[in-house]
Amino acid sequence: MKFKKIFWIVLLSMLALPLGIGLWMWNKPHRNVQEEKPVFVGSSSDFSRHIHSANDSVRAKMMDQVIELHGQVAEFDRSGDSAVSLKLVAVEVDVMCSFIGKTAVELPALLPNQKVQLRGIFTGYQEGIPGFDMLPTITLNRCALIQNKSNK
Amino acid sequence: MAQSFNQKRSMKNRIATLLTALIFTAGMAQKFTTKTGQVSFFSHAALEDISAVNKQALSAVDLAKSELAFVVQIRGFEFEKKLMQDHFNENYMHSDKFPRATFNGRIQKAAPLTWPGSHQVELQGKLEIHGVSKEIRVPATLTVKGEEAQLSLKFSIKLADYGIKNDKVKNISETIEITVKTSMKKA
Repeated sequence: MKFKKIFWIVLLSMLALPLGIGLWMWNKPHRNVQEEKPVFVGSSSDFSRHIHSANDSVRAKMMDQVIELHGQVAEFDRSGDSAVSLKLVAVEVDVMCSFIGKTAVELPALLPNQKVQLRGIFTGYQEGIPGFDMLPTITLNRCALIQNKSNK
Repeated sequence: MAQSFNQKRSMKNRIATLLTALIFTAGMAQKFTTKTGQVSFFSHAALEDISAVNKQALSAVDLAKSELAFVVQIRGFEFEKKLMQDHFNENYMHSDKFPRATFNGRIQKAAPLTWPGSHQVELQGKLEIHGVSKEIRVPATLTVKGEEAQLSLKFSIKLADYGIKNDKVKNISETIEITVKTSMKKA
């Protein structure tokens, strides 16, 4: 009788463990950039210079990493409640920061030239489209505001 | 006195030529661009519907030349579930090797288009995904009003055509639907 009890406990545990792990992995939360340590901290101009002048292997090392930037707002565009696009002032490159979900909803309206500090995940560098006058673009996703300083 | 008159006439001719050139150039400058175009895709499969959106697509259109282009960073696609996003980048799209998808093509139209206006057009060009480039023709709606041009289109692709392999669990359908919506400003 005791053996039967232990058998069932062991069997259920063996089933519950992978099931639990599977459920946890299926519902694994997205990264929290506010809690992750950034691999780069600096101004949007410094970061844009660094990436713009780097080769592909340097850019690849930064890919998918958390970056913390401070800079001035060049453009702010809210489309709906849960999506915001923010362009930071930078040198020779546009730094485009995307906010989604809760961080977008909580983001206050930002004004041009306003100083901000934010973190995001570096997702790409694009030279621009040939034949069109477009600056190269750096994209950061899942951004979150760290500090919001007014112009005053 | 005659020399002064000739000099004045010559100056007037030069100014007239310059003004004509400027007006002509302004009329031809019909380029629109954006860095916040939206590209999304949808896949229906037995296990679960999968959808993702990228709101940082570069898009550009030149109405004078009837040319347009898109560039989308693969890592910029956002999924509801983190696990799906990881699988998408690591197992399907191999985004470390193929970091972007691009489209370069022309606007095909039956008759000359007039602007401002809204027209049903056909886009023809090369779509490159996962390192594979294919010629496609898709219908689209192009609207130009003032300083803004809006483009929207929806089309389907077969993953196998671009070397994107389905996994053993068949968690994604063989055909996915792609939607593009972009609002561009005059460059």
